[in-house]
Amino acid sequence: MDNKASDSQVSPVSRPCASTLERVLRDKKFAVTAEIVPPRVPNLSVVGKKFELLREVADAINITDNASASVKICSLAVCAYLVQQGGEPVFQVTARDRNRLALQSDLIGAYALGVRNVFAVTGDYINMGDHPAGKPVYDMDSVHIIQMFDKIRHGYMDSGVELRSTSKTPLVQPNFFLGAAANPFGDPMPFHVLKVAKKRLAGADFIQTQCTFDVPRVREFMAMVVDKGFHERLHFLIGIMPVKSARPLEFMSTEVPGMRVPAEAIARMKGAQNAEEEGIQMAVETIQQVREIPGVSGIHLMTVSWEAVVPEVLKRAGLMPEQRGVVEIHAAAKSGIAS
Amino acid sequence: MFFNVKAKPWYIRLVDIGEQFAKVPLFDCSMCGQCVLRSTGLTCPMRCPKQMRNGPCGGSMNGKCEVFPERPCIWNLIWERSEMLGWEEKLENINPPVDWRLWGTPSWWNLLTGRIDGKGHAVEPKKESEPSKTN
Repeated sequence: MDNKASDSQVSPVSRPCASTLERVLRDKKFAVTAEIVPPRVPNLSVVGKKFELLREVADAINITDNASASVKICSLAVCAYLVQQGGEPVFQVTARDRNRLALQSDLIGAYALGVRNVFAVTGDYINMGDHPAGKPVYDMDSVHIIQMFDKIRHGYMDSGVELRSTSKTPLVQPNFFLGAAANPFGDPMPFHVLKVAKKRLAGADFIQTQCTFDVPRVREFMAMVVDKGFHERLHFLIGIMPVKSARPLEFMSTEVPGMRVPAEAIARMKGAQNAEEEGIQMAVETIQQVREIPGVSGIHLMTVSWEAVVPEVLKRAGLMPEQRGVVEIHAAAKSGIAS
Repeated sequence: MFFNVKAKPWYIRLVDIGEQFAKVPLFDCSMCGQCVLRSTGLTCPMRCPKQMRNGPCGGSMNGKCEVFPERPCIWNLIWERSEMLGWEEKLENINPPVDWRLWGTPSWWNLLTGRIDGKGHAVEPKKESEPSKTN
């Protein structure tokens, strides 16, 4: 492994387009992804309702994988359900709960069920969640998962075993869109940019970031990314979170690792007459500022359980599908022509 | 009590003891058997609760670990020390995943026998005769 992460010679993408989200980004349209946190109760009707709110406005929907290390319906099951409903899920996988065997079998299982976007992260540590006594796995880190998944795209398992049923059948090269996380708010920032470079070298296609309340910091981060030319090979979707009140902001600034919430944002939400309205307005303003940053190709809306706000935020930000020019891409996907 | 359960030959145990004696007090070594200290600013990344081998996780802020806030983020230390030593370029290499077969073995011995390379990356052992196919 002598490749240097900062080298600009990373092989250009030669695969065909794998998903609607990839089509949107390759066509240089502004992408919008949303997020559904699966419920704990074993019933998918809630997911169905949330999906109905998002299906027309978002290009893809991330399904979190035991977010905050708390047990929920598994990401794979919800992804399969969304595919059945005609949706476009992004299958999130963490290294916390799976070793390399489980990571790979879940991936090929998801692919077999029609999932075409995958997003790999290392994952929150197990002591943040509801089973702090459990054994965290961390067989691999996020860079390794991406490397391994990219290898699967070439038809090989991590060990080098070929993806074919018998020696006479052709090599199978599953084609999917591979994402990774980045945190512009982490320290030291140059190291987080270097980690983006490593993920790019490992084979990532898109990046979704931690949610933004501190726009200057994202600007600084993206300036470093653009300076190195990483945005040419990676699509950056900046995380945005609309909040209903000041409470979640206070919680995030103290309890959630890797988040930077400026005091002004908390003060603004506290002083608001109509907190919900102010939260929407703040998200819209953040989106407008983020859109102007060079190298940004989309946003990722994390709403926790306030999915109903997504259409309103997008309407005000001028990011409805017809405004972004993605209606045809969505229609083509529905009629079954992904690429 | 003194039974050598892991049935290591005496010379490997000797290397093992020597390496533990040197590295455990100095680097909090956990004997992963594939030492990458020389590319991580002489700071062992296996002390990271998530055992990240390629850089900080998203929770690394203000030099603190997200899991145990009283501890420093090991990758922040690695960054600082690599800068100090002028080894920043080494951080650009992707360290491969841990080969867990080497866990608990001395990496000095593994280096001597070619089981790991000069960077501390595990090398697939040579297959002896026909390997039996099992799951």
